[in-house]
Amino acid sequence: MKPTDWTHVFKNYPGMWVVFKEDQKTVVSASKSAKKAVDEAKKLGVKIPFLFKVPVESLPYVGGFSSIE
Amino acid sequence: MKFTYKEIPISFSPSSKRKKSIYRPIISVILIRDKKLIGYEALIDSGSDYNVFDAAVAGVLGINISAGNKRQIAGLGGEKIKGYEHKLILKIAGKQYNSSVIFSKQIPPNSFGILGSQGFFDNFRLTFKYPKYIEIL
Repeated sequence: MKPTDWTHVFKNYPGMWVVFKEDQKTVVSASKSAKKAVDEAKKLGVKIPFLFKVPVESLPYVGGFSSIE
Repeated sequence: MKFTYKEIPISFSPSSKRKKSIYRPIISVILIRDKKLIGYEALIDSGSDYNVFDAAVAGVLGINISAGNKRQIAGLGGEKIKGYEHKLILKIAGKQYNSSVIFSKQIPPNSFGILGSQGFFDNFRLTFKYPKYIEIL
């Protein structure tokens, strides 16, 4: 399997919520608001909108969250 | 079920124009609550104790996040953030199960929704074949 190329997503939508089709590649709608992006996708006939928040800057990532309480 | 890695261009500093492709294990999750559902793309992170998602996703599902149990969490940077734990149904790789998610309004702008140990890893067997695929059974 080849990786799914999200270069276009990070280049065109930094800081925005995007909705993908189920192919996880095609951007259907984008907005600063998750709800607006979902509403727009539903208007366009997308049954299950897949949301993704595009990072503002695309930098190396080292994550991990642990619970304190 | 197998999922592809996502190819993402990164810069090594905000001022650098040089980009390099890296590959992250970001997969599709379906969240279900009170007959509402939404898909979400989240990063698999074995270093995270919990599933931690952006509060905006809870908003789309009509969840009042402050009604959940208050949680304080910390990441690598050491900065503490506040979140609220909620029970809901997750559907991943065709499997639907009850899980808990911490929703937070304070997820940093360069971060991701996270699938962590409790509520994700404890429900599946995972194989990472970097950068070709992640198999989730």
